[in-house]
Amino acid sequence: MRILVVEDDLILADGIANALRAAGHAVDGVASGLDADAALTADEYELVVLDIELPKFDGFEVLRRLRRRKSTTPVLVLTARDAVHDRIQGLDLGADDYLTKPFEMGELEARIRALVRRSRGAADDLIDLGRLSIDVKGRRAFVDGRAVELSAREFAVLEVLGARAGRVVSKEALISTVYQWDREVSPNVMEIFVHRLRRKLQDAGVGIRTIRGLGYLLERDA
Amino acid sequence: MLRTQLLWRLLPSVMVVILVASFFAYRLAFDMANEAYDAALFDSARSLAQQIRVGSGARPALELPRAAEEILLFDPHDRIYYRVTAADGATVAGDARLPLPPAALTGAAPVHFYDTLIAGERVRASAYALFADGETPAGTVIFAETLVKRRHLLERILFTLVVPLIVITVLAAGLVWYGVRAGLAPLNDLALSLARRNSSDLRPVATDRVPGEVRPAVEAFNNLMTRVEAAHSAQQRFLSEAAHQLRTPLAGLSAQLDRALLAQDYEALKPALVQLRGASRRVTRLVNQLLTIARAEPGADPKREFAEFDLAALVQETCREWVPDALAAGVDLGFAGDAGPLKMVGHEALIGELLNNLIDNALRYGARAGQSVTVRLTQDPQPEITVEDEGPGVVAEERSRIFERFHRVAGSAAGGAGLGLAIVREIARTHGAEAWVEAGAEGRGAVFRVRFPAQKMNRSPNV
Repeated sequence: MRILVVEDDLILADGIANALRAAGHAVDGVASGLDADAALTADEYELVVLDIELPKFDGFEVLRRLRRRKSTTPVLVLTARDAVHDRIQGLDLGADDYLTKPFEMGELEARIRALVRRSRGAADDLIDLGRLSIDVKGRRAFVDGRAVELSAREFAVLEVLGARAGRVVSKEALISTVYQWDREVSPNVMEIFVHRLRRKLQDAGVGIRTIRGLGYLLERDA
Repeated sequence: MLRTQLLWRLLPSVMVVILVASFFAYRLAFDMANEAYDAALFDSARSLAQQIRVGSGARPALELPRAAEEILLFDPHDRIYYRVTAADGATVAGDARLPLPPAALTGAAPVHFYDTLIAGERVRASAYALFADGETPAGTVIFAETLVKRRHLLERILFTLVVPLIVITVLAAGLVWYGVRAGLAPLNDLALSLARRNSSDLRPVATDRVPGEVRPAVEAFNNLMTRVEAAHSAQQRFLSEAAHQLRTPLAGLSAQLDRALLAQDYEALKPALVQLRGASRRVTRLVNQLLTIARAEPGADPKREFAEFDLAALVQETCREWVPDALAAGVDLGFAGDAGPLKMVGHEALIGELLNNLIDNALRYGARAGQSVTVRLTQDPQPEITVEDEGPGVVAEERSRIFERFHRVAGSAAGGAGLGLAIVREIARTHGAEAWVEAGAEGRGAVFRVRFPAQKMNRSPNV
């Protein structure tokens, strides 16, 4: 994938470019708003990583010109300014995501992956959790390639937990994926689903933790 | 400007006083002068009357020698008119155009002065009654003169009054101008001495040479200066402390960089890189904390961004974000209490930061692997967030000090700058909330509490 990195701090630009190249992307780097605008006019990029504080004219202006040309290229804005109104201005101008400096390279890569997925218009069809894999399109789950017997609702719960593996999903969010929002459902109903899922996934290399008062978290066994 | 203002207020009143005084002086002078001229006019009328023979039953007859007429009728400035009439009003001598007095003369009031017109010209007339045998009305003598003399006099009086008036007005204006300037001189000195001051010179202004009227203002100003001075030196201390805190991880960074540059292969390089990442994370965290403090401070006016939000949702979401870190440390992080919603007005991002620091603090210093940290949200009667851990707790004498900036409990483990709880208190203060720590149940662990003021519209009806 071809990515344009617009960043005037050379050390940071070099770090970003190297990390993205290591991840298999083709990366061009420019250091000013003017050069960025020229590069974006001349070439097609699949993604732009854009700093706001730039010489010549700033990243907001680059973004404004890009969107005026009706380009839908995803833009990830980087900035040291984290005031809420700066963030709002960036998003209003058509930025797709916002990352405040300093950041972990891993987070930048994850955000880029998410942006590209979103711009290609498709979520992952297959959630890979080691021995467990979830086929979102086929509505089936496999452990070591063998299908697991799951009801439609059990699968829906597993899908949400699997898509956010490692993070806490609230009971309310899970219930709303299983039942229509206007149905009165006891929060305890989720305990039953989770109990069944735990039993069926006993040997799947994953565990579902109950997080007190907060919801559930699916984690891969260490 | 004060001086112009005073001048504009003072001058009209000075002018009015002078004008009123002049008016009365003018009237007095004019009346007195007129009386003198009238007396002369009456003398002339009487002299003329003495030349008239009045027989009983006969008409009065004027016997005026040529020389006497010349003396009597000569005036260097005015034209003189006279008229002698009989008792029936017929003119015996003189100018018949001269009008008779408006009221008949009697023995009780034989003289009358009046203003009238002759040939369209204004004249002053004096009428004198003639009596035969001392009691029978026999006729009237009228003597009149034009007003040239009197007008001259009027002009002279006016002139002698108006010139001093102008002079006095100008003098008064000058006095006011000078007086105000002299009166304001201490203020000018004050302004000058303040203008010449160095921006770091926050000493109070000496009040001994300041006029009493201005003293309250100067004292209020001094009071402000004292507070600015205090805030300024607090900032100064904070800045130098922050710089010192940044030095340590930066020194580590540069030491590890030197080590990395000497490495011959990747195996030797890797430990340095791991250390480098740790140091860079510490710098990052410290800088973020400093920025949070700067944003929570009253000077940054975070109240401008206050809005209503759901505190219960924020607390639970923040806890969820910390669960992976807690799990990695083997700590059981949980939430208890109201699931909400709990509406409150405040700065949502800063409250989130407050809770981040409380949880971070609990995970760093409070809980060890296998222990639990519980976040609670209650709202009776005020919204209150508590974070409980099962760790060593905070000894009584440290409980207030741990909220101070850069204070670290002696001997505490994981490296930190001592800013986390200072941030908590700063953000709490911005929201009018109290933050403190107490011992946990049965003396185990620590309980950090943040109690917000009662919210006006606590709970929106459950939808």
